[in-house]
Amino acid sequence: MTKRLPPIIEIGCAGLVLAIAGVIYLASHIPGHPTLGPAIGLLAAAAAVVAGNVLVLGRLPDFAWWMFWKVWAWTMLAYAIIAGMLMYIFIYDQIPTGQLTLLVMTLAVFAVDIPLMLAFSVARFQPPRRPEPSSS
Amino acid sequence: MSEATVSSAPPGVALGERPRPPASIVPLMGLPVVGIVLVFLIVSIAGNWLWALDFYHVVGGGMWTALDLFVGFVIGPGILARLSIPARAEFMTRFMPAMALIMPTLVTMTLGSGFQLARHLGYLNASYPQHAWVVASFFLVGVMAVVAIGIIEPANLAVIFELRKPEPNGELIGRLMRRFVYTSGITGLMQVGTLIIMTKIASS
Repeated sequence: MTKRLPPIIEIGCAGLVLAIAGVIYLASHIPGHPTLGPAIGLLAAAAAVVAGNVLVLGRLPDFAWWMFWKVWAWTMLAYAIIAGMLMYIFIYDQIPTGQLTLLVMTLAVFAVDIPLMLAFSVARFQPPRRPEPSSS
Repeated sequence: MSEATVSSAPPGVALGERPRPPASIVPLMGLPVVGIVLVFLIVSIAGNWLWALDFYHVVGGGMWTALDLFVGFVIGPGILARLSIPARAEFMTRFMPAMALIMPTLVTMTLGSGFQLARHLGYLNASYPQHAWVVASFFLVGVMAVVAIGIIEPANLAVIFELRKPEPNGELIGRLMRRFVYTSGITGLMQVGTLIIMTKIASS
């Protein structure tokens, strides 16, 4: 049986590209004080794309949510460790408040986008209902 | 719209008699090693240990590049493509979980130490003569991050979970493995571009 699914991974990648572009813009000016407008615009666009992706995913009928949440939880744990390290570096480097705020918000967008993409990539190939454990 | 094949699909390629998948998704014995690597990275950053940061960046970057190129150009077309179907299944059952642990660790240690090195050595300053090359390396890393998160890791995870099913879909696994192997090769080539930039900066 083959079923069509919305392009969650592709939309997630678009959100990633926008967020990463903002990070590159900020990182290329550290330790200076660049105009924050372009970074704010890119981050807002990334957040809008990711929010749209969440809405599209949430409307999927007959989706393997049991597997989605299982993968999401573990991916989120791994992401939290990596994001924690990044936060530590940003704060340790005494990045100016405006840029630090934007970088933390970018990490928050990643926190929604990345686990969602990885969990979807597994759950899309699983049956909608959790299989019964075999008795053998 | 993207296409998904659910588990009830008839497998296009029979996996034959396959090995029992490991009890855990990633090899648990590797977790303490990952923990030690990350803790030592944090200590190196906190202590401003330039030697340790250099070590992390050079060793991590070298291993990341070598692994990508090895998977993309040796393991994929040279070995995996010539194995029997059951041998392929057995190889993937052990190889993919290990990659799910090794690659994010290498990426974290390379990028975390690299950013700190660039900051300490003044490469991030816009007044640095080679600053344009540093920003170019940011772009390359950005593209590689999107490829890794959007293509390589989803394929890796999907294969791991598909192999754990009672009746894995061989056709789906083959398709995802090709995607994994080829994009690893492309990332490896982009890594070579990064190495060219890094050696140019280091020798300027």
